[in-house]
Amino acid sequence: MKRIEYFVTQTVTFQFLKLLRKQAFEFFETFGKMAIRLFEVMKFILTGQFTYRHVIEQCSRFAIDSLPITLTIVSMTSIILAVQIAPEMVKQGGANFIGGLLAIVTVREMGTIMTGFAIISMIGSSMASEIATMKVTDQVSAMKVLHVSPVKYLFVPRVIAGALMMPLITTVASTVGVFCGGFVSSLTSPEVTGLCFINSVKLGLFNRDIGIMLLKASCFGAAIAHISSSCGYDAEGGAKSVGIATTKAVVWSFIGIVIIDYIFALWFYF
Amino acid sequence: MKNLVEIKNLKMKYAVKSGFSEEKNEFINAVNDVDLKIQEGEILGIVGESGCGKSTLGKCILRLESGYSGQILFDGVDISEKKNLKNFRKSAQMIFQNPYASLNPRMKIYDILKEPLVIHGEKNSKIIRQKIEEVCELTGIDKSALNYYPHEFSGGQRQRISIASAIILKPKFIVADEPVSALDVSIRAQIINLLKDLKEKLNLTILFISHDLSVVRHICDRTAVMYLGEIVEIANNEDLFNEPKHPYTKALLSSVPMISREKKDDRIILSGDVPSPKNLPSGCKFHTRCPEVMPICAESCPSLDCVGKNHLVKCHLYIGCENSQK
Repeated sequence: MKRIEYFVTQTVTFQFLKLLRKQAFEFFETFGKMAIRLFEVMKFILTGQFTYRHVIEQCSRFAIDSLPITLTIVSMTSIILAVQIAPEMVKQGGANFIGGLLAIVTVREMGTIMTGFAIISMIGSSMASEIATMKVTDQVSAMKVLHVSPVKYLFVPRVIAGALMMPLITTVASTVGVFCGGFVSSLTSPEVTGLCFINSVKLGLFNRDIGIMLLKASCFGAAIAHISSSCGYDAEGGAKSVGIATTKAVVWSFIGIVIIDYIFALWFYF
Repeated sequence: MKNLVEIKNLKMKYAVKSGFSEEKNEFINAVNDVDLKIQEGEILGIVGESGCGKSTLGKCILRLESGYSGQILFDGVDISEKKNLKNFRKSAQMIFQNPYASLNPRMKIYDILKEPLVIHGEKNSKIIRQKIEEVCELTGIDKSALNYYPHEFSGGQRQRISIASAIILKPKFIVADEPVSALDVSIRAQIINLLKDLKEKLNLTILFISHDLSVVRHICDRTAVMYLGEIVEIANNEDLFNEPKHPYTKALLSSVPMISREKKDDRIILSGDVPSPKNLPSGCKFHTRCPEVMPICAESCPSLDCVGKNHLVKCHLYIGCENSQK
């Protein structure tokens, strides 16, 4: 019986299932911790227990520090999109629809998600590594000794800043993106004039789209800040765990915003 | 004297991964069944090798670690209850080992010292300023330095800032977790004397964690020796350093280099390594390395018995001896 058990445990399928079980446990553990902390964050926000100075500090970090990279990424993506679709649309006789198509794609999806990716790689990772370093260097313990809730001090200002600033950055980035796309379309295809492009944008884009974009961006911002802070807070040990926490924050934030995006797509456009 | 802190059957385990397995299926026994009483106004030293559970014990007492079992009473109040935590936080503070890391680098010294007061409800800026200046005077920080950032100070000055931040709320109890180990030898004496002065002036009770026996001998009233998460001996400094009872304490004290030591043979060199805290030995935890080991040591764990006035030892050698009094 023991021999059979030994051979079964050595099979690739068994090892794969074991790995799968481990991953599932790890996923639910991380998700559970995040959910518990999210409740705490909500409690502090709803009861107004946060310092405006810290929120403003984080807002400046979120918006000002990340704006150049976000603008570059979103506008470059729009330009690439314009370069790819404008000649094809002109060939099919749809030059009048290029602006609308580009605006819909950018505002509904690409602007928000690309801004999210830029924010994760720039702000999310730095948040996670900052909090992880604080954790491993006893700064979080020093906070606890003073009866300061680390969630209130570290998470809340970041989550509020994320929820407030992300719509702002997304709006700026999407606007610049659409106009950059329009400019490049008119350069590559002479049939697409400026007026034709703007008219097409006006026809294609509705206020509802802009509203959904703002709401989605706000959720993205809060999610990125919360997930990054939470992953950083889970760090234990030394420098190695800071690296692990940062990687985990980036991966989980990507997964998080894609899931939120999926929920929004189902909810509003299905 | 009244007991300020009472620890009963404290146990703390950490789950760890073992071998190639990614699952946390083993436990490190950091603190095992510790019973300890810290009297009001005393400095109690905790000594032992690295990894014996000194810092974990300190962190458990301050509730910086969760998941411990046992009871910790502070001033007769059980601190594991959430409702008692805010008052406890005001009365118990910690001085951390590394002043280079534990101060927030983005805050000025004034803000670092102001924060505890604000958190505990002090809003009047005049009173805050006055309290900060008072504490600066006590700890020897120049008032003009309040507008600087921590990185602009030397290690000794930073440790003074840490101490100032710890005493600004006028706590009764402080856990000093190796407060001088990260400092230069020339600065150590200043910080130790500062702690001694503060203890006298503010009637502080201090749990002084260190692996530097000479520092502990100089500053503490009583000393407890830890081995593999257990307290093996606890006594007044004079008794412990002059008449150590436990074989481990004897070995530990003999490892201190002394100019006056006549023979090299006086040193007790323990055989083998410290056993893994994942798999603790049966019976007495020290029996695998003890030079005076007996058959019973591997079988049963001795209790902490009184062998003299305020002198407790956890060793089979002293069970049933003349001085032994339960």
